[in-house]
Amino acid sequence: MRLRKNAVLYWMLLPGMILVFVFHYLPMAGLVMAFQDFKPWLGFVKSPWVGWENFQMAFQREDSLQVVWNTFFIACTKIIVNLVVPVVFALLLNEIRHMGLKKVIQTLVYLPHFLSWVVFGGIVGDILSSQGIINTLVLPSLGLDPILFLADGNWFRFVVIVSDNWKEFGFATIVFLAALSNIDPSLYEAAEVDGANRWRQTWAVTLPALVPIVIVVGTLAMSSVLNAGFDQIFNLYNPLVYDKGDIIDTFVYRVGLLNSEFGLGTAIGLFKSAVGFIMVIIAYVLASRFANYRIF
Amino acid sequence: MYYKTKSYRIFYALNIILLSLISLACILPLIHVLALSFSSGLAVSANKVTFWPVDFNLDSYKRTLGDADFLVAFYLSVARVVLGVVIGIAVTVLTAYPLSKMDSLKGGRVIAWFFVFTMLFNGGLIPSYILIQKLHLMNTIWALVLPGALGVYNMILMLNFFRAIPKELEEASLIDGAGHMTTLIRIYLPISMPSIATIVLFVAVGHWNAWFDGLIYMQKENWPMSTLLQTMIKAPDLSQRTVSDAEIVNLTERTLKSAKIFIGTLPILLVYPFLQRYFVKGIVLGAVKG
Amino acid sequence: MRKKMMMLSAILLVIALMGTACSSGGDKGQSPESDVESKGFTNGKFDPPITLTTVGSVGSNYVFKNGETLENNVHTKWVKDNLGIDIKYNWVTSGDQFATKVRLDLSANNKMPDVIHIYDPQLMSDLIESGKFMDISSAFDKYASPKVKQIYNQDPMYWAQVTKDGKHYGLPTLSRAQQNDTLLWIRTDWLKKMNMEPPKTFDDLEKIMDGMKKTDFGTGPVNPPLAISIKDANMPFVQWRGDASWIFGGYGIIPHYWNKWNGDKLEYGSVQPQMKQALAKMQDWYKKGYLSADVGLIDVGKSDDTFRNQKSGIMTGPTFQASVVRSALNKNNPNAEAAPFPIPAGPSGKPGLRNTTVPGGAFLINKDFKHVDAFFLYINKMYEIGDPPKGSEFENGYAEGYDYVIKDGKVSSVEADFPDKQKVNVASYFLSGQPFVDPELELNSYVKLYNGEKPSTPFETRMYNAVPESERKDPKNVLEWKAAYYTLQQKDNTLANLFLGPPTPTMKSKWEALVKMESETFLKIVYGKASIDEFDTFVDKWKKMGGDQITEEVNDWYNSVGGK
Repeated sequence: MRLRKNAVLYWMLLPGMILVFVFHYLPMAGLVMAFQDFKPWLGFVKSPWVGWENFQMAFQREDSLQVVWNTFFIACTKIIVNLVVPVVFALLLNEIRHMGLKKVIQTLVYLPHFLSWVVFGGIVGDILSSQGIINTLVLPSLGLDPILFLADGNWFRFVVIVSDNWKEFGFATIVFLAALSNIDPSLYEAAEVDGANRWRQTWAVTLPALVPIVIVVGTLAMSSVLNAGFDQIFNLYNPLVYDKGDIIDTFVYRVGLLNSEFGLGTAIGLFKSAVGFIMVIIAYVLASRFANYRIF
Repeated sequence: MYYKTKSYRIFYALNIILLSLISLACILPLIHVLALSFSSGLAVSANKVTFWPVDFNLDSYKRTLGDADFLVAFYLSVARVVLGVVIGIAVTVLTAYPLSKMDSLKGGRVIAWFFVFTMLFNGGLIPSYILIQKLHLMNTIWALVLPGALGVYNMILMLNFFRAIPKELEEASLIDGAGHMTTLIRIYLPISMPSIATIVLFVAVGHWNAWFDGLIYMQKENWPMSTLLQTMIKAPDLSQRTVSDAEIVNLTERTLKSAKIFIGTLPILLVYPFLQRYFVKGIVLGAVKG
Repeated sequence: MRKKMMMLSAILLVIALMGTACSSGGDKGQSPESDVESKGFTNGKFDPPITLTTVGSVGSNYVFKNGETLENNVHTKWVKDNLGIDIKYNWVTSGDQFATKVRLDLSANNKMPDVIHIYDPQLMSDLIESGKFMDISSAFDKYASPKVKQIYNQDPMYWAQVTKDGKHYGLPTLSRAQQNDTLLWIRTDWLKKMNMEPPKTFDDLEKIMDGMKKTDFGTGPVNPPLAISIKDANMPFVQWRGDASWIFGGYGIIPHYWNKWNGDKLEYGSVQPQMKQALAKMQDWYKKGYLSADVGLIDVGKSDDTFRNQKSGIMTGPTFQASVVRSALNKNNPNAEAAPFPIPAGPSGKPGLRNTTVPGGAFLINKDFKHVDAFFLYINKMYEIGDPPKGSEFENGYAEGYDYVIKDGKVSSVEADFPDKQKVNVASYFLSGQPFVDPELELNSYVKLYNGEKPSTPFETRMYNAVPESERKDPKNVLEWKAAYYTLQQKDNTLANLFLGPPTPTMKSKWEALVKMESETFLKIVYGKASIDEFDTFVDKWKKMGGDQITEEVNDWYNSVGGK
C-alpha cells in the first residue's frame, strides 16, 4: 500500500527530469568546445582539438591569479553581505506591526532590483563622481577631501559590494519574509507566556525558524563563488582599477571582443562551474554535519 | 505584552526611522529615472534633473506608446509570464514535493543532485541554439518558456518550504486514504501560499526581465518587451560609420530611454503588491491543524 | 490516484510536444532558392522582383516613422518598386549581439544570407575563412558602374580588409574621408572675454586653459577647461569624439596606431619613445586640473555634456560636433559662441592627429547567391542617388518627411521645421546603415560652401539646406563648413593607422593582455598614480610578452596586401 502510494512520487518527478534532461543535459555536449579551437563553420565534430590550450591561455597569464582572486574576493564578500543584510532587514521589518507601513517599506526596497546595471551603474557613477553629491556635499561638510571612488582599487571593491547590496537586498529579503510568515504564531504566544521579552523571542523562535532557509540560500549561493557580477563590474570598472576589480567574466569579455570566444569562454565557464560545484558540495556537507540540516 | 516596555518602544521608533531611510534610498533611483522621463531632453543633458521633472512633458511616453511594435511586445511578454508561471510553478511543485520526502523516495538524493548539477554546468549558447532549432521551437514562445521551466533554485526553496510543514498533516491525510497527489493539492498547497507566492514572483520577474533569449530565438516581430527595449536603449558602436547629425542628437536622448525603461518596468512592479498579502500575514498553522 | 498522476505527467508532456507541433520552424527566414536566374532584368529593374536576403541590427540611433521597420520602410519599398529587388531580413538583432547571432547561424549550419554587412574585423575574417562567401573581383569588374569603379579605385588600401590571397572577398563600405579627424571646439565668447587668440601651439592652449580656470564667465567655475574622455579600455586616447590623440600627435605619434613612426617598419604607436613625453604632458594637465578629475571614468557622451553645460570651454571632435553646439549648447545659452579650430602644434613643432580610416566595414556576398548583379545594381544606384543629378527625385534628400520637408515652399532639413519635430536618417535603413557617397565628396562640398560659393549640385544644396537660413549669410562662420575647411587644411598633419587586417595569430592569444597592461599603465600615469618611468618598464614588458612577435606579424600582413 505504502509502496504503491510512493510510486506516484516518481511519476511526479518525471516532467521535471525530462525538461532538465532535454534542455540542460543534452546541450552539455557543447562542453567539448573547451578543448577545441572552435570554428563555428566547422562545428563540434570538425573543429580542431587543442587539448588544454584554452585553459593554459587563461591561466598562464601574469595576472591570472590576481583576476581569480579579485573574482573570489568580490563574490564571497557579496555572498556574505547579501545574506546577512536581508536577514537582518527581514527581522527588523518583522517588528513593524503597522501593516500598511510594512507593505510600503517592503515594496520600496524591492524596487532597485528592477533597474538594470546600465542604468543603476550610471546613477552610482554620477553620485560618486568628482562633481557628484558625495564629493561636493557630504565629504566637504565632514571636512574630508574628495575621494575618487571609482578610480581607486580598494574603494572600487567597496563601492561594488555596497551598491550591489543596495540594489539587491530588498529582493533577497522576500524569501526570508516568506519563511517568517510560515512561523506558527502560537509559538510566540507560548514564549510570551513564559515571560520571554522580544529579544528572547527572536532568539528562541524567529531565528531558529529562519536557520534552514538561511542554510539553503547560503549553500546555493556558494555556486556563484566565482560570479562577481559581470553586468555590474562591466558598467563600473575602468583600467585604473584593473588590479583590484578585473574579474574572470570581464576578462573573458575583453578577449571575446578580439577573438570569437567560444573555446576560451567554454573552458573558463567549465572551470567556474567545477569550482562552484565543489563549493556547493562542501557547503552541503558542512551544513549536514554541523547544523544537522540537509538542504535536500 | 513585550511591545509596551519602554526599551522596546525606543527600539521601535529607531527601527521605523532606520527602515524609512533605507526605503528612501531605494526609491530615489527610480524617482530619478521617472523624473528624467518626464523632462525635456535639453534639461536632461544639462544635468538639471534630479528628482523632479524639468520642462514637464509627455512626449517620450507618447512616442514610445505610439509604437505599434510595442503593444505586440507587451502582449507577448504578458503571455510569456503567464505561461511561464503556470508551467514553471506546476513543474516546480511537482518536483519539489517528492524530493521533500527523501525518506520515502529511494534514490532521491541522487535525483536531487541530478537537478543541482544543472545549476552549474551548462553547454553554453551554441548547443542550446542548435537544440532549439532541432526541436523546431525557433520563433515560438516555447523557446522562451520551456528551457528554464524548472528553476532548480526555486525548486530547492520550495522543497525546503514543504519540509517545514509538520509531518502530522501529511500522515493524517495519507492515512485517510488520500494519495500523494491529493495530499499535495489539498494540504500542502493551501498552507504554502507564502512560499508559492515567492516562487511565482521569482519566476514572473525572471520571465519579464529576460531579454537575451528573445533576441537569439525570436524574429523581431515576436520580440517580448524586454528584448525590444534592450535594442531600443542600446546604442550601437557608431565610431566607425558615417553618422548623421540626427543620430548624434538621438544618441543623447536620455529622456526617451528613461521613459522606455519605466514603461518596461512598471507592469512587473505591479505584480508584487498583488502578491504581498501572502507575505505580510502568515498563514495561521494552528487553524489548519485544528 | 496513480492514473491522475499519469494524466498530469502526460499533459505536461503534451504541452512540451505542442511546442514542437506549433512551431513555425526555424527555417522560415531563409530565402526560397532563387529560381529566377533566367528571368529578366529589364528597364533597369528586375521583373518579376528577385529576393535578396540579409541580416540586420537596430539600436537607439534608429528612428522609425509611420509604423515602419527595418524590413519594411520607405527605402525598402523604393528598392522593390524601382529596382525589383525585394530585401528580406532573415533576422534583426541588436548591434552588440550581431556577431553572436551570425556565429550561431554558422554553428547551426544555417544558410547564410545573400548579402551581409559587417564591421567586426574578426567576424569578417571568420566568414571569409568559412568559405561560404564569394570572391567578387570579377563581378565587380562586370557589374560595377564606372562611377563606383572610379570611387573604389582611388586607393588600393580600401580593399585591404577583404583581401585574402590576392582575392577580394567583399565590397568595402567607405565612410567619409577624415570623418573622425579631430578639431578643437572652443568657446569663442570666452576667448574674447579673456582677450586671447585661438591657440597655435600647446603653450597657447595651456594659457587658455589656465585662463579659463581663473576667469568667471558667469556660468560657474570652469571645470574642466578641456573636455576629453579616455575611458575606453581598448583605445583610451583615440576616440571618435572627446578624442585625445592630438596631444600625442603633437609629439609625432598616435597611440594604438600602427605606422612607420621611427623607421620604415610598421610599429605600434603606444610603445614609441615620444609617448613618454606626451604622457608626462597629460599627467601635468591632469594635475593642473585642465582635464576632468573623472577623465578616465566618463565616456565620450558625458565629456561632451560638460561642454553643453558650459562647464568646459574646449571640446574635441570632428565636423559633426557642430550639432552639439547648435542643438545643445546654444539652447542652454543662446548667447554662447563656439567655433572649431585646427589642432595646435605640439613640441615637435607640428600638429599631429589621428587619421580616420576610410573603409569601415564590408559587404560579403554568399557564394550561392545567384544575383550578384542585383547587389551591384543596388550599389550602383545608391551611389547615383547619393550624389544625384539635377531633377532627380532625390534632389532634396532621400525621402520627403524623413530627411527633409517642404516648409512654406522651401526645402529644409532642419529638424525644427518638421511637423513632428523628428528627422530621420534614411541612410540607416540602407543595407550598410550608412549613405553611399564618394568619401571625398562631403568635405569638398562643405569647403566650397565655406568659400562662399552657392551650391551647384543637388548634393551641395542638401548640405546647404541642413544649415538654418540665418547662419548661411555668413558662410565663413557656419560651423560645419568652417570645421570642414580646417579638417581639410590639417589633413597633411594626420597620422594613419596602417594595420587594418584581422587579429594576427599572436594577437589572438596575447593582445588582450597587452592592451590591459597598456591602458592600466597609461591611465595610472595620467592620474599620477604611477610615475612616468613606469612607461619604460611597460615597453620592455610589452615587447617580451609578445609585442615583438606581433610587430612582425603586422608587417607580414602589411606586405601581403601590398602596403608600401
